Amino acid sequence: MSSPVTPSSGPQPVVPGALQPQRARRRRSAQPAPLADAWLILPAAVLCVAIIVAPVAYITVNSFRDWDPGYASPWVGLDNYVELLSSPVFREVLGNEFFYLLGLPVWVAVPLFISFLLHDRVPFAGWFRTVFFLPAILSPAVVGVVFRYLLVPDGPVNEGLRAIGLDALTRNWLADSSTVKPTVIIIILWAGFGTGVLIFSAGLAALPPEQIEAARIDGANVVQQLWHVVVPGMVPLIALYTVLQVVNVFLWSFPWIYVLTAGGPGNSSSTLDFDIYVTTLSFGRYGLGAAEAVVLMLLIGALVGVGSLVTTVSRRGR
Amino acid sequence: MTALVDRATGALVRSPRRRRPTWSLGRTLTAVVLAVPCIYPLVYLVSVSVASAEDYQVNRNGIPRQLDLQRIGDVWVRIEFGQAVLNSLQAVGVGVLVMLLVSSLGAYWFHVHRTLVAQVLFQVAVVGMTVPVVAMIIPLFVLFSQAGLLNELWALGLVYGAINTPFGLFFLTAYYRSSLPNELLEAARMDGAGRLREYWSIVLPLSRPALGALAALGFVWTWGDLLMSLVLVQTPALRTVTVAVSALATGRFNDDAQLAATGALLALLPLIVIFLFAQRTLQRGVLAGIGK
Amino acid sequence: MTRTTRSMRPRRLTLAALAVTTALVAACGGDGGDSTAEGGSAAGGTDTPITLTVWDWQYEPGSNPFGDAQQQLDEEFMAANPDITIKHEFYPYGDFFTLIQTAITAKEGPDVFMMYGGSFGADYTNGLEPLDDYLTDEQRDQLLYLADATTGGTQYVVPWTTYTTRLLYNKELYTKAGLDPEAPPETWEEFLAANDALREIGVDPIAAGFQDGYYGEWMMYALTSQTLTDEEFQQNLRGELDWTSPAVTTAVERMVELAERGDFADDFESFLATPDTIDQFAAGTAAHVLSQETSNVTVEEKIGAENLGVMRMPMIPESQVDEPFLAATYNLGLSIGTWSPNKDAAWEYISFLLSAESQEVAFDVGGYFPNNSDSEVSSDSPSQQQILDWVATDPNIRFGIGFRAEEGKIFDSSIAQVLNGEKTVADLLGEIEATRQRLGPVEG
Repeated sequence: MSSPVTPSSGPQPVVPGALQPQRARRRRSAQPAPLADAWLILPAAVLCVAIIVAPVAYITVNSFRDWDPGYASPWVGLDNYVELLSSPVFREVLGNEFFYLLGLPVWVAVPLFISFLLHDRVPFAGWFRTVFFLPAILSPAVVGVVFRYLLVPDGPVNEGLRAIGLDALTRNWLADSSTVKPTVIIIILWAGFGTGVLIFSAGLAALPPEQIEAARIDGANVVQQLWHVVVPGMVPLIALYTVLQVVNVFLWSFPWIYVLTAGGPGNSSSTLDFDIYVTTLSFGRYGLGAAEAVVLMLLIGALVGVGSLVTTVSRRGR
Repeated sequence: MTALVDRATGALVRSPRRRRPTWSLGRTLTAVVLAVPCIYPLVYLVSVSVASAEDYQVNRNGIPRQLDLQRIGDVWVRIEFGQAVLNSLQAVGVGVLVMLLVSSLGAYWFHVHRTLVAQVLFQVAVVGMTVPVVAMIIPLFVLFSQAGLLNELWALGLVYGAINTPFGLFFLTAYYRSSLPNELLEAARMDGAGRLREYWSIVLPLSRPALGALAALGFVWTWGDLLMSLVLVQTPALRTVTVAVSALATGRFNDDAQLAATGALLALLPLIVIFLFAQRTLQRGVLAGIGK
Repeated sequence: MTRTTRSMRPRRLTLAALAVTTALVAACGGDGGDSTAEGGSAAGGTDTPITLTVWDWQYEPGSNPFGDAQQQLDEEFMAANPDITIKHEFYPYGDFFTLIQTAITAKEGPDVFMMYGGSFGADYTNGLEPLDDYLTDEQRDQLLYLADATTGGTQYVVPWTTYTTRLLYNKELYTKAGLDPEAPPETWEEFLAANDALREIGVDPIAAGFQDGYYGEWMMYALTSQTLTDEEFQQNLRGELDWTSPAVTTAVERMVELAERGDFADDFESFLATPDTIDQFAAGTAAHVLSQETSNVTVEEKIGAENLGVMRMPMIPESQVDEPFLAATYNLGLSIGTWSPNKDAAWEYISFLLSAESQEVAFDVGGYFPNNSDSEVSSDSPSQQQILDWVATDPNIRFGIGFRAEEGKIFDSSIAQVLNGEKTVADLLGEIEATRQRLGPVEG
């Protein structure tokens, strides 16, 4: 029993900054007075203002002080920002952050490919999706413990490489500044791709199957089918997932770095949110950490803004 | 009514197409090969946890030849695992329920109102997803200590709920757009039903799959939280599972791989249980929110 | 249709189960929350019952001997002071100072907690009660390392028990390598020669694990205790010692020398200070290990008590002292929170721990060497007894450099890179020195 709603008019996954204006202007019968039922939105508003908006305002104000919570915190103007931007550590960490973004194509392509693989002619596809989703339910603390021991010099990964004669490839993966970032990228891929498979499988189920079928009959191989039929059909979903990954790297990398590398060796694997943690809670430099948090929020806002602009433009273009 | 339920969920139960009955050997084999790295680290974790200390010394990477299940019991007692699970359930449970309630109400408001104001508010809510938790922790700590909310698991749950609410609003708004039959709402409206009744008797029942998926996602995301529970709930008796377990790996003088692995294994057991319960819900719910 | 109905059941169940569980847990959990309330608020020494909260990163009863000693001491104290209840809480070292920072912010937290003094303590002085006026003359006479624990001249932290940095060596391996197991090297030259001989028989001369950086810090304590003048040691306590000065540079260069010679165990950059280094030594694959452990019992069980030797760090040519000495200072420091409503009772508890008798318990049960010169302790283990003798009689006991949190972070995360040649000694120390200058001197 299929839905009368065709995919194109279905819920275009809402990318931040791109709530579809054309849909918003759709016919409204009996437009209700917006304030009469404001109690619907009130709990969400109160909760978010108290626990998200207020803290953000608080740190923004305090980023202009030599902030020592609970004690004298004199205003220092832009000093914290000046110190931050001239700090070599901050520049290195910022560089790391953009290095991690190199993982984006992999983080997006792998689940896309796998969901396409499972989409058709694989028995027990649901079971496979379950297995692939398994890593996604593990908390970083658990994943961190497992991978730390998997990746030590005489651990299973290196022993496995030796067993198949690839001794030259053995590395001290997490303790070598040249391999630590790519290794972290792979671990995050491992831990997250199951969610991508789930989301993309949902998107694939909504694609008209005839298109893929036609491409297949025309002799297109898997990659060609994926590239020419699936990707164009799922641009909004792919954009959404990509934006989520960017947000993840910038906002949720703390637990990974905390358990896997503590930012080392040196600062070679540190990220902004991990560095904010260290600056504030390890070193007690709250003002500097607040400035760093403000910079991070501006950065992520800019990136997501660009992302949603691209999506909006590409959607208009279609 | 049944027809509507069908329509709302019809797409959800639609399985991948099986028009061609043959199955592809290449695709299936690839899937099997890809499944190995998903499962192996867990097998390894179990191996390290159950191996006897002597066996682990000489046989670090293989399947254990000599077992010591005593360790699991020891770690269970040492980190007060049972209490930690109850603590986590309390905080995470409050968080999930708060998120479900607050965001299903809010998303319904966004569904009904599409004025400029509503759109702007929606954008603001979405921006809420891009706030780094690390940045919020000090202000929250100050707020909590002044309000006397430190060491309260339900207050930690409120924070969890708030942090996931922007995503909940976003997810459910998309879901309502695709799956709430306007005809039914309008019919109810003409009958003079208030918003509360619409919400209770139409919106909530029809959004069960999406709420289920959202609950599962929220559960998984907050169960693993380390930072907020560490800072906001400090009393040892109220430690959550993740904090209790990570203590085994971050102590200065007791770095023991097998203890850390056993702790990690215990920590993931409740998740596996929830997951086995919820994974169908999750797959269907995500399908409902995004696919159709 | 059937399919739809069936598929909805687990969903409803999951949600319902979640709701019920939450309600149940919330209902039972209420009591747990209440029990954390403070017991009393009256000043110490009265009949009003008082609860003292103590934070500790070592205390873990049942899992380490020190925890058992601590538990016994708490019980003794409570028996002697029926109006005071000790609530002793363990937090892992990795989280400990984060939680102290939050307590300082909230102006509420433990009455008594572990802390380090010196320049390290400078980042926490908002929360530390000055203890100079609490210390009695008798205590000042008895206690060792009081000056080591001051911060900018103020006694925010009082020292408790003794910390030593010494080398353990494997006598069996010494014999195999043709070395005299009863005459360990005393000079750097002898040490390097011994390492050559040990390498020739195929063992790692020195167990090593520099991944977390702590092993590097220990090495620095041992080596800078030789190179720092007394004046430089004092400067470091005030946060005024230049990290690029020769005394510090030399110490790091000597570590690099050992690394370049191959004296450290292979893959040293990927192992942890604990337990990996002791594991290497106990497994007999490494002949020396720099040890901070309070007890050598586990090592003795592995390699045999008769094979375990203990030695003081051999003298490097740049040493300020002419003969080997024990690098030692206080092991754990104790502080009182500025927010504590029961400071007198808190000091009563600390005084109890500092007493000669309590430190005897700390040694007998927990293996911690006392820092009270009136404590009388002895050990059946020859290596343990040797350390006790040194603590009691070595006239040259002194200690090395201390790190502030930010300085330590840079050092810990980079020392492995310096040792394997990816980073220069000058770069490392230059970075730490820039940080020190930014932080400025310590205020007392």
